[in-house]
Amino acid sequence: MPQPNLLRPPPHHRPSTQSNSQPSSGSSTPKPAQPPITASSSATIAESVVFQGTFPVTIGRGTIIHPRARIYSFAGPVVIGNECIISEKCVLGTPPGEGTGTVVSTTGMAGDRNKENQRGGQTTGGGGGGEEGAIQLSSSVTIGPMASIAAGVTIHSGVVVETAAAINGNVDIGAHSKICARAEISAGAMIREWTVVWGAGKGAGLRRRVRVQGGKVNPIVQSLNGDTAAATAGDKAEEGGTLEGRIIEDARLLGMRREREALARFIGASKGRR
Amino acid sequence: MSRPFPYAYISCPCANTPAPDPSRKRRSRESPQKASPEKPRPELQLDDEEDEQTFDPRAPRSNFSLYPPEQLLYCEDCHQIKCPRCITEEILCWYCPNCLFETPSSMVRSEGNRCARNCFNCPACTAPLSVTTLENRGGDQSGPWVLSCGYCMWTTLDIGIKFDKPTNIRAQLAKMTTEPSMPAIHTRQVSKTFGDLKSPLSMYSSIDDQLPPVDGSRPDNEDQPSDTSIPRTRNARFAALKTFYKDQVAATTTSGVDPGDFGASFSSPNTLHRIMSIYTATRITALYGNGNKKARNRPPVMREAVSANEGLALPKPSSETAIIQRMASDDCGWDGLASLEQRAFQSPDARFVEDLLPLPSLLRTKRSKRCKSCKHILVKPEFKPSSTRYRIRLIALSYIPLATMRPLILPPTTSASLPSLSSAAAPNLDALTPQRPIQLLLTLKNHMFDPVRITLATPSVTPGRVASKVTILCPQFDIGANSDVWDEALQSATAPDRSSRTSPYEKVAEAGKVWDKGRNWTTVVLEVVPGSLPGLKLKAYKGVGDDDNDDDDDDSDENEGALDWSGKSKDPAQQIQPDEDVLDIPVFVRMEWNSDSQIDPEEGIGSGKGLGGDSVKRELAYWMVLGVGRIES
Repeated sequence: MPQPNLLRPPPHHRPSTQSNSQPSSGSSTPKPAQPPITASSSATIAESVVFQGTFPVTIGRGTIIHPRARIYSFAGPVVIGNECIISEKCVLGTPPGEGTGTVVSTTGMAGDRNKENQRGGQTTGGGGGGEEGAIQLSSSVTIGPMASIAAGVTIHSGVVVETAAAINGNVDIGAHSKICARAEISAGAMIREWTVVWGAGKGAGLRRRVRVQGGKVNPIVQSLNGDTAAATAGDKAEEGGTLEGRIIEDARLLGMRREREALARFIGASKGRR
Repeated sequence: MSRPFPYAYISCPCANTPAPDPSRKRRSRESPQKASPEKPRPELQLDDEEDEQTFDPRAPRSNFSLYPPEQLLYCEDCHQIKCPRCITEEILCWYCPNCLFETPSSMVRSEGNRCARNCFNCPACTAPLSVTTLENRGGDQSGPWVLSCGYCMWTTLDIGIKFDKPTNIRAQLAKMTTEPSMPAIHTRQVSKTFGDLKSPLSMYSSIDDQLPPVDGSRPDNEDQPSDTSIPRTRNARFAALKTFYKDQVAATTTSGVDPGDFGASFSSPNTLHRIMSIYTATRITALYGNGNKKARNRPPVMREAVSANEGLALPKPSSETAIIQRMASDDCGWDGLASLEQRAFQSPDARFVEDLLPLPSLLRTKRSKRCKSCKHILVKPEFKPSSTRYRIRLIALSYIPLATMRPLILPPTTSASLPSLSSAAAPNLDALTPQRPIQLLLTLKNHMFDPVRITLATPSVTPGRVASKVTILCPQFDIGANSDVWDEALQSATAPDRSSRTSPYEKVAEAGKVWDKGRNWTTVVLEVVPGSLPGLKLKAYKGVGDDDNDDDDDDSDENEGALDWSGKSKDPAQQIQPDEDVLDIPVFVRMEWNSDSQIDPEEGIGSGKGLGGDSVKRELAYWMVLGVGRIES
């Protein structure tokens, strides 16, 4: 990995390994550990994305990482699947100096952070965190702005994590789930697929809902319309009822794809490359 | 008092002069007849006393009269500040906040205050629902439609409802969830019962159907039940019960009241007479014993609804256990149960998330505000819902000066260590040190087009147990008119002495002098010595006096009147009450100005005060409370 120039940022599709806090840290403190990054050529990664850590980071094809996102791989490898959107200022992984499984706080002095970077890197390197702290994002995952995802989280495909949501360590989020804005998932939680976690804060304030996938028949409608309506509804459920809930989800994923494509085109046009 | 320090509240005078209510008027009318020489005089004296009294920001009553200045209005006829308590509100129009369509108030009255169009809120999370198609393959928008929530991803598919058209969703939903239409014979009655169903209680029903074919349950006669019309939904049952009892009332009343017109029957004089006679009759019976009882023939007894088509619904004996079993089943769980918030606007039968129906959006109103005493319109928004403009808006801030405060940073001794010292000198308003004087800059900004002369008055010691000393260094000053901004710009170009504002460190607060002055604002210095809190003072005495009671007394004598309360130091009232440590300063503001603006000649003529188009001298006085900070404990 060539070390990019400090003053001039690297081209946009090349993952940058420098952080904003580096110039302020001065020359006396050593640079934080930089992970080996394997990024697909079709991924779009902003210049000001921070990569730190010791374990490898893998970024799939078509993925977009917005500016000022921070990805820390001190506790384990970070794998970001295909066609994901990682929004700005979100944090993947646990920054060093904090225990795994805690919510990432963005405040802190730059110098301190760098010092602790080193320490954290040494400990994880020596101990060999292994698969414990791995972050795995499957395809078509959307991470909202300022969301934080602790080390050891597995997110399956089609999941949406909204703005400022916090996902603590060792959480497993099933496919096509949604974590609504500002929700906090406690450590070790298991969220089944097609679940929506909504509400405020954490714990009792949060509610879960299972999204519908197949067709259903409303009991009121059924009772009112009698047997004929029930029969037709039953037929519908048999022929294509399993699809109905998914059609909406498909439409959402389609919209997400268009967003990515539009962004890639926009950046490509503005750069005058491609 | 939840605002951050420093704040300024303005006391509406309505607390001292209550709005004229009819009982008071009656009393005043009575008083000259009965006790004319004596009665008015003490009242007058009381009023005088009240005027003389210092406004106490901690008095229980003053809580209700203190308002942030931006919440106040001003009546140009009464020349008075008007708080939300001394105005009346009128509803100008009802509109849906989602589609911004206006709903006529007659329709609101008949069909409830919910949007009759396509606007729905999510029953799970209350976010607005959007109409989306299930057919995203074809370019043309066709196929079944659903309502979907962008936040919690709820769709009407969750409750198994799809719509054929993307328009008029509410009518479609009503058609689906209420009774099917009924035979044509009953149409006349249906239209009547429909009107009845709508009128008084439609506000309470969550799903208001606006289609006429709602009620298929009205029995023709009580004797022959029709099998086709057994009500199944809750609304229909309610309607059936209502018609049944209405018929019962009609059948049991002796006087021929029109059974179809139940709502109006209470207001007719005939019925009123009958109702009144019920009470007089019983009283007579009570007085004269049982003699008259037989003279009145008792009305036939009303019977209760007994059959299903009369609206009676007998729950199956197993229904409760079925519900419990459903709750206990694995696919329901805690998340499958509807929460109290979700059930609040749903049918009472809805126990599970699957029972929730989308809620039509609640309408909102635009209101105009009038002065309670003179009925002058103070606020009148534009009639159209899509416009946020106001036709009339007499907010108080365009008539009274806006008071803002900031602590005056004490001038440093040497200019070299300026930044560090100044930061150290800035007092923390949330923890003021007792007995350490601080200086505040009180800026009054005039929004009128006339220059104003302000007189500020404040008690030298704040009322209450925590006595803080307050001095306004320049209590009388002028504020310039709110003239053209360009004037000031040109003025400041010619007069360079305005630059004194930029370097305040060279200045020292002087008594009798204005600190700074601008186009339409003036700043004066306020010196405050925060008082000591009761608990703190006791501790200090203990330390000083070596547990000697005599010493304590000496100390208290030295500090004069501020320690009146120290005699009762043993009782628990010595503890600081909540918010007693807040340093609130009552300030009496009196403003005088000559109004010779364009509006005033007309006004002067109207009120008979006009001096031939000359300027009219006006004055306005009110109490203001300055919240400086919280005294450190």
